[in-house]
Amino acid sequence: MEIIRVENLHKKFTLKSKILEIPTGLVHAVNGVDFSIDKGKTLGLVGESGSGKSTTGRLLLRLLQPTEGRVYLEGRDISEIKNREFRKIRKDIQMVFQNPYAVLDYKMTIEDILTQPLHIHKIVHPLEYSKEVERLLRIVGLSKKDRKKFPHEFSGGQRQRIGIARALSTKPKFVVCDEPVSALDVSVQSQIINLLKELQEEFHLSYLFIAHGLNVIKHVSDQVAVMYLGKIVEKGDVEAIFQRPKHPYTIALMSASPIPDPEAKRERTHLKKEIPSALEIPSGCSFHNRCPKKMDICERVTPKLIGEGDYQVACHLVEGVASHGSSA
Amino acid sequence: MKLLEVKNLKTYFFIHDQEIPAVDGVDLTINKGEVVALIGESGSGKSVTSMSIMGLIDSPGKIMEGEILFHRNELFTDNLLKKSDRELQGIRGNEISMIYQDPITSLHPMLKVGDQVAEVLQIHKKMGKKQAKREAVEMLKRVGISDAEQRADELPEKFSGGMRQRIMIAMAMISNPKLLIADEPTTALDVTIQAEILDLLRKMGQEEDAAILLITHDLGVVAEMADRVCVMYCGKIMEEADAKELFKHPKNPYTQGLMECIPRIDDDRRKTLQIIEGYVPHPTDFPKGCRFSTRCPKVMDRCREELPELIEIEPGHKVRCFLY
Amino acid sequence: MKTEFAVNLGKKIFYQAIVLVMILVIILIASGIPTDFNVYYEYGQYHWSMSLEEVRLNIFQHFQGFLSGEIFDVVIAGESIGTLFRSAFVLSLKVLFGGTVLAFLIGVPKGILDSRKRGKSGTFKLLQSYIPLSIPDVLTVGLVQFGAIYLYYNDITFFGLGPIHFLGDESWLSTIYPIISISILPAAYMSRITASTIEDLYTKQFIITARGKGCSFGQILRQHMMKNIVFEILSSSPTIMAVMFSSLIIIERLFYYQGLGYHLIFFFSSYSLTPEQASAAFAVFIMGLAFFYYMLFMGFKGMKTWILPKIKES
Repeated sequence: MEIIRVENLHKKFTLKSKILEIPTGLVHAVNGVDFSIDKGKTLGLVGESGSGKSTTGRLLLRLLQPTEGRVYLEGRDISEIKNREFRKIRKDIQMVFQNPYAVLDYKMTIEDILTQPLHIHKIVHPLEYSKEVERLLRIVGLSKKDRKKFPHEFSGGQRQRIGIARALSTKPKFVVCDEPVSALDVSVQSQIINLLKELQEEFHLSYLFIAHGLNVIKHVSDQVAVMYLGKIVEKGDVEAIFQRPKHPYTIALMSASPIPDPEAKRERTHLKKEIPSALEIPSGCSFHNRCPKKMDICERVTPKLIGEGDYQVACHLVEGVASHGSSA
Repeated sequence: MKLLEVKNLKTYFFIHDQEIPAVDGVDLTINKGEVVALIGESGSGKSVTSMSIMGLIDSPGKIMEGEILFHRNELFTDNLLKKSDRELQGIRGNEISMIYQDPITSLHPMLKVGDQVAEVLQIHKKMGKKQAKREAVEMLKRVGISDAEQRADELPEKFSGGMRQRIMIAMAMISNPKLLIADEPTTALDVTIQAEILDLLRKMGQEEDAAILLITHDLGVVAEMADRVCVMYCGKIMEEADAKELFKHPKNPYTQGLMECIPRIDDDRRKTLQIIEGYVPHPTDFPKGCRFSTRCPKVMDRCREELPELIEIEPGHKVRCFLY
Repeated sequence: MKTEFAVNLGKKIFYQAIVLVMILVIILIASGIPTDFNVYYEYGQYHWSMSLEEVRLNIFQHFQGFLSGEIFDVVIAGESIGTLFRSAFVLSLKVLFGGTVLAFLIGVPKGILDSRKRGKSGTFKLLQSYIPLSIPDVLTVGLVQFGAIYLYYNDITFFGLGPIHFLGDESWLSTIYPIISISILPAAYMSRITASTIEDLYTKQFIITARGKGCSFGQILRQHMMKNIVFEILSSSPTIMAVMFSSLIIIERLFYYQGLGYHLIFFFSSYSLTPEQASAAFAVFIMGLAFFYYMLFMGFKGMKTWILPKIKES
């Protein structure tokens, strides 16, 4: 059963000059993104800077307004709903943010921070607030003695737990996790990842897990979508993608990820140049100027995401193989 | 041949009447041409160690004791801690260079990149402006900046993160330093760029016969680059060994824990990841005895009371743990 | 794009012009009220010394005089207001310009010195900057005058200059004391800006990079910080300017230096002129001052938005 479906999502940002507010450029941060997530499953969204993965997450939460596209929550089209109405939906879609140091109001106690969403969305009766806060702290692994403390009294990992507790306070169906462990100490990351997975099982949550590290994505996701400059270039089952990646960018990304083993074999795919600026996205396939397997057609025609069933790739190479296969 | 020996370095910070032992008795040896990785998490003291070597510790920090012996050649050895700031200025950027984590803030936003690189030569080799500029352009070419001639006259904002880091490397290597300290050089960069920067560092180190002190928290980076590894935790070195040896036979429970709990791309997907219990203690709150005792799965009573020494259990392999 | 640029620019200029005209009109009205206009309270009622109709008439004539230019030809003590204005303007300009330059020459080095003695004597150097900023201008000028009198009585020479007698306006020497007085406050301000910019920048990563390269403090100051310091000072130029203009009036008065500020007070309070002369002269001078200030202010603002970003790229 699908819980979230996204169709042809676009987000354009117009850059304006400082003095006279003249449009100077267009950033097409999210450029036609489609995906769907089943209930209880995790879609891992992976990409480097400029890929549009964080923007996609924010679009789902209406923190930004999509320029184009449709979003469906449990089959219901929520793209056109006005912001006022959307507030009622907010309790179903929540977000865990990257920086545990910045997202908690340092003037509020933990109790206040966790009670606030309960109050806004009327999750429980006010007499039950205290009990609910205790319950939330318990499920994220903190003690109820911590409720009167302030955020600065906790370590990064603990603060992220509080952030997760806050996201869960509204009993959401779907949680966007935007790089939840990138800012944490290495020895603590696995704790938080485990916690997120436990909570997913216990509460039948669905996740959109955004990260730039393939190693984390592998352990958390059921499906994976790889983004590059606003488009999804490869999408599919996590095992399939990691065992047999097809898109040259995915292959390069995997070969570049450092492996903590000095004796591991490293076949580095060298990519030419750097990630282009989002203001000057190359024509045709946006990856063509760096692709080691570039063909003439790549410059002219933008490849579409095609494939069988769940597994899809946007690459002329793969297309060619597929069409050859079908003609044989 | 030894290039740099750090002996019992202690750098403390005094904040709000509290004494924070950021670096608490660290011994480190770097040999000529070697790549030594200093790995640790936040609060481990790894960055403070590198800043201490460079003499860039400002108040409220203070180097309390220790020696930093710099063997610039067979005849001359200097204790860097005994040198005045003026003398250190002659060494910084010249014989010992440093590159930093965030390439966006590390370059001066209002000066041309060519000038920033050329400045090194003007200070240390007393070169004239024109000649220094020419050599800077050559160096920029070497680190992979295309159209170096024109691009040398641009401001850092026109370059991407990876390119800026290359400029920093040019700036650091142009003076043929004997030691390059790289403080988390790839942490702020994208994965695909990271690999290229590491390759560049390795290449430069080999071409100029420079040793590299690589500071990082990423075991993958260590595995790729390092000859030897030192693991730091809460201001102390917990383990030191050759890279291959460390990854095959980590002895300290902290090192073991680190290696097991990191999700790996070459692993099978597992339901639950291994974890290290607890959190990195706050520097004002270090536990009595072994600093890892609050989280160690193999903790004994002794660990909570006494601090273990760093002992060499096998040639080239040192551990700080009562298990040995 | 071009047309949008032109439209936006046009809009901005139009708004600014409207604001300027509004300000000038308000000043004109205010200065058009006759000097012997009074409101007094007598026997439980308010009375005006002249009817509102007369006041309105006066203001109207005022406007007419201005718009036709006749007002500039009103003669006071043998000179027309126009010529009077011009000479006073030049004198005030000398003091303002000299004061700014001197403030810069004193303030920036002092600021650099302040930032070097880091840590110790922090409060003392703060006081050094804040004291001039917090005591009244009159006291500052008074102290300078005391200093002048002391030098005069003790026949002390400075750089070959003998004690300065009052020479009227014939010599540039009469600008020295006003320039010194007017520069004290801006100098304190600039030194604080310099010192705090330096302190602020010192912890920035690119300065650490520069130190890591082996730059000495002097080199860092010259190559890496100077642009930022000038940038900061230019950014706060509107404030400094406001301070200087308000000081100008007091300083000119106390030193009997016959610039714009001096004449303003003179026209307002003098008994040797007819009400018409006085109000006409006052109006011209204050309009001139307002216009000058406005142009200067807009100039600085424009510089901040357009030119300073270019400095970044020089």
